[in-house]
Amino acid sequence: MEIDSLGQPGFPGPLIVSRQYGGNPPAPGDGESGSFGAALSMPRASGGLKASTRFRSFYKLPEKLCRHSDGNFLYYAVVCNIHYLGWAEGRVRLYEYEAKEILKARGINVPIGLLIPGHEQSTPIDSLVPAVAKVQTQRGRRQKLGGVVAVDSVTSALEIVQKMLGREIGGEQVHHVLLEQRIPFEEEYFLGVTYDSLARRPVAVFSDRGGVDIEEAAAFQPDRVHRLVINPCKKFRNYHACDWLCGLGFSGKRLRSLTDIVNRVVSMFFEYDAFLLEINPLARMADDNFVALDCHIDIDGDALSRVPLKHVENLSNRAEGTRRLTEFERRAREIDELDYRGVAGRVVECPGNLGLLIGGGGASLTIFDAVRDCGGRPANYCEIGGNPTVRKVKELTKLLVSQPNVEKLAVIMNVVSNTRADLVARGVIMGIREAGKDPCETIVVFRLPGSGEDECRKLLNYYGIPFSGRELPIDDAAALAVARCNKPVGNAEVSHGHFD
Amino acid sequence: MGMFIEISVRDKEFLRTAAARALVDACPVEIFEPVDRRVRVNKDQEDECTLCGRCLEIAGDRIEIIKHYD
Ligand code: SF4
Repeated sequence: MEIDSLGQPGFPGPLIVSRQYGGNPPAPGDGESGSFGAALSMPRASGGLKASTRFRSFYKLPEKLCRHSDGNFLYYAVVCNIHYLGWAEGRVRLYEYEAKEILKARGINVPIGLLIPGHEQSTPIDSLVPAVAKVQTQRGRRQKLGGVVAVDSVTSALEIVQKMLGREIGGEQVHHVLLEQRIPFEEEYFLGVTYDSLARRPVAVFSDRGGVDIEEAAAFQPDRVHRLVINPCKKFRNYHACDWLCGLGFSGKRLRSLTDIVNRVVSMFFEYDAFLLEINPLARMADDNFVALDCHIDIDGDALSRVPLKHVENLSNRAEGTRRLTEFERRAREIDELDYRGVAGRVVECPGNLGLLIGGGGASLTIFDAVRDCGGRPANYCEIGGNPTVRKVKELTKLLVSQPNVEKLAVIMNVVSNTRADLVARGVIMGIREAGKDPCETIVVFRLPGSGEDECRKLLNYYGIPFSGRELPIDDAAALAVARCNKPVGNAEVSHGHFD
Repeated sequence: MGMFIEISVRDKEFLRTAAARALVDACPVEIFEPVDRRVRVNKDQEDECTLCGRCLEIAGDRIEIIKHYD
């Protein structure tokens, strides 16, 4: 794959992803290594995004490379050229009613509402109708899944709420329903603040196409989505918002109200260490006042101890975000916690048949995508690196190949420097054997160039497993793994090195 | 015994000497551990051996690192 424009001073020329080998500064004479490391060393000003995120945004990799087949694996939003990607486990999403509490405390209008069941049923239901009943789940697209229903009478409100409670919406159990006054409005807007990893700054986004599917608006009517890049080192002032909104054609009372809201939203974004603060729709009433009809706040999971969220319960339990760990992933995590040395256990379960042991300088996403691009069906995503112990690799391998759907295992890593290839090989072979399988039959590709490579080659040869080094590009290794996945692999059949 | 690596001590008496204590500190993966007044090889750890050779620097040919795959 070639990416023509790196868009980054100092790194000119086409980048061939499959030939990016190293996570380290280029060695003398090694013109092909090093750019990964440069990308990964980008500062945390890019919003605290993980290395893989920074890598992708740095190289402006196409969107498809970032998205998982079931859409759950990675949180991914494209709003007006913003490529924002983060691990679900690193963020905490507040429920709508919690987010609205924060908005309310900051003087932003929200509809009068009643949380059912709630702590105090102070608002009588009949004062709310006509109302909207909204399930309180953390996943988006509630409306499309029937989680938002308009109600016109107390009886129908109670009936709908009763039906909603305990139901599953988008795979998530509904524990609360928010019943809110239905507010007549003139127009719907979108207002959000998030991080633009290309600009490596926070960015405010505004659109006059509020409501659902802002992503579509961004894709099909980009001229209606406006961005304001924010300098995080300087205090955001009213006049910044005012200048921006003036440029968008607002004036008079609308301008004053919106300026105030933008200013408050930006300061909340920083105060709450948010990854995303989004009001959608932001409704304009006939009197040119604004009301936040829906709100999402995603907070950096690492910042929970310092954000002022005393009114929110069970925050730390939500640190895994919108997606719960599967049993398989939980066990992998336990393996990773066996020992502080290295990483071997950051795993995401997928429905395929090819187990993946991948990593090295942030290449695991690239490898995962390469496997999928070749038509492979990974059984998991994983990351190993930092020189994990043999035991950790063994336990992880055993776990991977013990999955009933896993037929083969591909070990593909970028050039390793601190991780030892031979130690990984030991763990892999032990793990496969402990799972009662034949390493030679199970491993379809073992591509692990770098530190300990010679020893690794010897070890694998002893067990009849072909070793591939840097002569086999990552894309080819992925293609080889996929090609071999559904046919028997034995000594005689496997050729060393290149994909033929 | 490790599946891949075996730390063979040719001179068992060496493990009772004060010099052998240095093995405990030298080995980065805790293959040598102190027991009473001697040092012993932790057989469960042998496969973690990084082949760094630090133990050989201390013990010379009284210790041998056997690679079962070599
Ligand atoms: S070679 Fe290094 S890791 Fe192996 S036993 Fe000796 S000191 Fe320990």
